[in-house]
Amino acid sequence: MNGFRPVTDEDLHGFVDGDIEPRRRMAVQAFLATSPADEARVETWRRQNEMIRAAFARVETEPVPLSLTAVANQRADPATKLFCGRTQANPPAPPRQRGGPYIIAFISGVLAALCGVLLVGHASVNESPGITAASDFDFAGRALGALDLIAPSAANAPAAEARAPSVREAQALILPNLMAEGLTLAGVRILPGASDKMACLLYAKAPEAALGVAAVGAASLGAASLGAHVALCVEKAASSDDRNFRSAIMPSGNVVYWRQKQAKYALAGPLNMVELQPLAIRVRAEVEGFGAASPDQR
Amino acid sequence: MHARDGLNLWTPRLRRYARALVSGSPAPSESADDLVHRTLLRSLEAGSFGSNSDLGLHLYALLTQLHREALQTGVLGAHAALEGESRYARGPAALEKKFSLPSHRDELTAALASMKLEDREALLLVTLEGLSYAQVSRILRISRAVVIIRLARARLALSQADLTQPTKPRRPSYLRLVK
Repeated sequence: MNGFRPVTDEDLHGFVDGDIEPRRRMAVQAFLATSPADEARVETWRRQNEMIRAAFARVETEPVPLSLTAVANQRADPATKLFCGRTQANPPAPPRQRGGPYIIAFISGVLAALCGVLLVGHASVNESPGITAASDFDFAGRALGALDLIAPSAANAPAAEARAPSVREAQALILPNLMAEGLTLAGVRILPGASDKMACLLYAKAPEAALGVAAVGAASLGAASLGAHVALCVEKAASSDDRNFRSAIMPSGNVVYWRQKQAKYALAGPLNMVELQPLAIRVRAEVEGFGAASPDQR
Repeated sequence: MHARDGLNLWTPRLRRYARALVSGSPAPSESADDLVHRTLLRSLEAGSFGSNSDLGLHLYALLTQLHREALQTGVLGAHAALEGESRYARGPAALEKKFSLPSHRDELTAALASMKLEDREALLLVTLEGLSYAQVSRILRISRAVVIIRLARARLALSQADLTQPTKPRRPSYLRLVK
């Protein structure tokens, strides 16, 4: 007996919903290649999923009624123990990591040389309220697309170097340190944005990634892993109003996006939304707390 | 900051799930928003839930439970009947007949109404909310095998509605080209 287990309907459903072990996935793919009838069923289920998601896609982007936001904003108290798994009365500070602030400062300096045109006030896009939500959603989609575009190679290095802006135009981006979440920075890429550049950072699980950010230029990631799990993309926003989290489920992955400190942020990756959202909260807290850390955290 | 962020982060998704569950339609729904509102209030009264992911699962479970209770007590039925939008509360037989060409959305709503509530819950949690079978199992307090059984039944119901085919006109046209 070689331990082979026949492909079941449970495997087929799991295959469609992405809830299947990699080895079983391969077995299902091999099975479907030989069974047109089951392939047709699977394809039908996949189209059903897409139809349901498409039908309700816009609901999540609608403004939330005041009656619902008031429940959270008036009743939620930072001094409570809700939602954070912590017991201290004050809101949690960014995690104390050895060298954490220095890592942030180093990365900020590196990206300052690369991302200046992002934040210099050249943005002349005046977004009307009516298109703001749509532009944010488009930005979220571009962030997810960045995962496919980023592929470090020696061939790309010269072009990326040529795109690096002058140091005099540089202005630091606030880059979160996600080491507490088991993620390390694996790479950086500058990509076209809606009106300017978009900076995307790739994070991977700590044992899998080498911190290969080049001192100058973002193209060469050296030994940095391509096994990055999430991408955090940042783009300058025309307006300064902060916006709450929104999320989107797309065929290639999930995205959580928001506006904060005159920038648009999007956290994208092939993670379950329940796994992605805590990361987004962490990123937002890091950005919010940057520069406001108490002296004993330095 | 975190408490507010946690609730605000989940509210839009809860609204989406609630609309699909209550009326099967993405159109604005006072009943669905009321369900979300009661869910948020009840969750705040309940207290701590640990991590943000635990909060999400708890909110989905609470909303699902409150929806069932509302159907059983007839509260949702009365409310939805006033809005004239919910088919579920009055049962699948109460679906209104329409004389216009049925859109995919109408057919989807009808298909969702035709399936059992428990099957619809499993289907929406997996396909619409993107949750894993293990997470749905926790939310609905059933085994993974039962989740898949309900999902299979729901998909069979959708297949019988033939949603993935182009919409065909159901009423003959009496117009003729006269030369």
